[in-house]
Amino acid sequence: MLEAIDLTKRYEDGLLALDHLNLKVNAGEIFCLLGANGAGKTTTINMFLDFITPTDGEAQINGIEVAAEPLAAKQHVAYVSENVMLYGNFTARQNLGFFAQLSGRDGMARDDYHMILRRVGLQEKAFEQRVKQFSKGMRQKLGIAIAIVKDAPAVLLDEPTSGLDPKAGAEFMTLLGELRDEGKAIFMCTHDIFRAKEHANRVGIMKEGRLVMVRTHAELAEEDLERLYLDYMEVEAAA
Amino acid sequence: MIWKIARREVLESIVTGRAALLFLIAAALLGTGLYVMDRDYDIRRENYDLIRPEQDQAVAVAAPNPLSVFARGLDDAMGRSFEISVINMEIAGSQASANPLFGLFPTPDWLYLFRVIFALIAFLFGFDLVCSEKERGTLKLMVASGASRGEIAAGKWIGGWLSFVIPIALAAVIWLVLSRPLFGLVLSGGQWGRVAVFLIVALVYLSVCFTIATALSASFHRGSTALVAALFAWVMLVFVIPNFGVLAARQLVHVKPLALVSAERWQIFGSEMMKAYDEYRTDSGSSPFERHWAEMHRQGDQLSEEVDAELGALARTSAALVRVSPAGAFDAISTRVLATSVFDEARLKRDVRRYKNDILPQVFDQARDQAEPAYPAFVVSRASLSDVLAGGRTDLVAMVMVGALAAAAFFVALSRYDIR
Repeated sequence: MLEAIDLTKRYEDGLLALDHLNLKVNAGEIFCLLGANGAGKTTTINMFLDFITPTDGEAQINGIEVAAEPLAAKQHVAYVSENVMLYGNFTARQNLGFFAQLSGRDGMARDDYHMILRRVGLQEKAFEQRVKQFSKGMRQKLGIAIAIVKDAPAVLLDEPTSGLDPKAGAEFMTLLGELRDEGKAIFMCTHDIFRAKEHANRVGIMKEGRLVMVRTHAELAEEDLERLYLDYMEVEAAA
Repeated sequence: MIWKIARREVLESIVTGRAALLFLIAAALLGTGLYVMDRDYDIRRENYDLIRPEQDQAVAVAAPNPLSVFARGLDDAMGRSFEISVINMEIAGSQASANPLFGLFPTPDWLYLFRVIFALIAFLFGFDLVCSEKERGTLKLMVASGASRGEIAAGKWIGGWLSFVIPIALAAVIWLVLSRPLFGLVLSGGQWGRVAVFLIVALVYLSVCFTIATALSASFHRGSTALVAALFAWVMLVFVIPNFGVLAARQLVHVKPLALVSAERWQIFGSEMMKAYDEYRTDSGSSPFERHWAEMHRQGDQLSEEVDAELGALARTSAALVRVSPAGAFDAISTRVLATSVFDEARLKRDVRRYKNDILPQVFDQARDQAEPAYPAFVVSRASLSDVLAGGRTDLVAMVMVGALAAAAFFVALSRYDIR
């Protein structure tokens, strides 16, 4: 569903942000990508969304090369950013309605929107509240509602749980689990080692633009992911 | 997709109350401007009634132009009365308002409001069109949702433009409808047509300002930086370039100083009178004065035409330099359409000279015979609207070109915009 083939990004100043990344996220799978700040996690997502163009290699969504056919590729992917600000003067339903229309989901009724907002755990009274009154947790829930309303087979999430309280973070991950069970391919960049270990089907560690480790959920059951992560980071520091 | 984005833009303007606030501001400014300018017009009209010539007076004076309520332009200068005598043509009076404060502050006519105030509002509406989307993270979501950058640019421009133009246009139309019952402003059908053309040109001008602001919004990533750039652009386009254009034209085109022109007139007068006196002294039976008065008028007209030619060259050079700025071009077209431009003043001067030459034989007759002549009424010729539009075509094209360049810059900047 999501595939990076030798995906490389070198910026004009010479910085190699991504170095021949090869990975595949299948339908019905959560892939969590860990790594220090600047490791290349967000760059990977940005190239899947055509926010930046690769220097070399390909990013594919559902077999469509993003750089060649960005609009066609983006029909198959939804996106949740780290800090979902949205339109503060619009209500949750209005925000959801606008992005639903942009995603081509015309003709949805108010009840349809309410159903999705209910599903992501937003309180009923917040449906018609202006988003500028929302906490970060509420905004992230609305962000995932926007991803859900698109009903795309793949979802990209860039550190969606950062800054969320433990309860909100847990609810968010439960929701991602439900989406995975519906057959969606979920690619999430995160710093949250514990949730990655608990919920991901596979976890990758990225360092200096390279994917240095990938473990399955079963493999991680017998390993200490935090120790692994720190070991990789220490190797980096020592180098 | 474009209309969905445009609709959201308009909706946000309504939800936040921005559209309502703009309507109230526009209504207050346009209403106040119309009231003040209409009162000023009434005073000038009263002054005109006082200096309006009787049939036995050789005086050329034009009635104040009711369209000057919208763009005063040079209507004050065009309201001077010219008294024609055997030896000279003097400015005898003026219809100018007695309020000296008008000289200290900008005239609050609609031309000023559109050119300066609403242009500023256009910049304020457009400067954060794109960078605000980036700052709140919605630009990423829009692009990720499948909207192309071209669709985002078009949708945001249309939505922003509608939410900005509709309140102003609505306020203007309401005041135009109310201008007769509230202020007693009476215009002919043709004059209403000119006001309509003025409003259309004003909206084109505001659209150009808005488009420049949107291009700036897609060139910066922070709203605060874009705001500074937008204010700088507004100052340059509305004040610096037009003023610089006029000053530069003054340096490029030589125009004889007025004092020198006056001195030359007196020289002509003295020379011809001396010749007439010499001839009269040589032959006391002759009557050379009338011939020399005619010669004096001929030379005086020649001098006036020379000065007019220099002033015309100055006006054309100024217009060419000033139209680099949409504000300068808008000013030029508006005053032409509303017949208060520098070209209308030049036309009036020609009319006055023609009138003087038409009635000069009767003026001589009156001087010689002490007769009570009946002078024909002075008639001001006005350029037709089609001639005006043909004359202002270059300014209009220049203004639209700047807008088209700004639109292209907006689309290019957004297509290369780093939305991360």
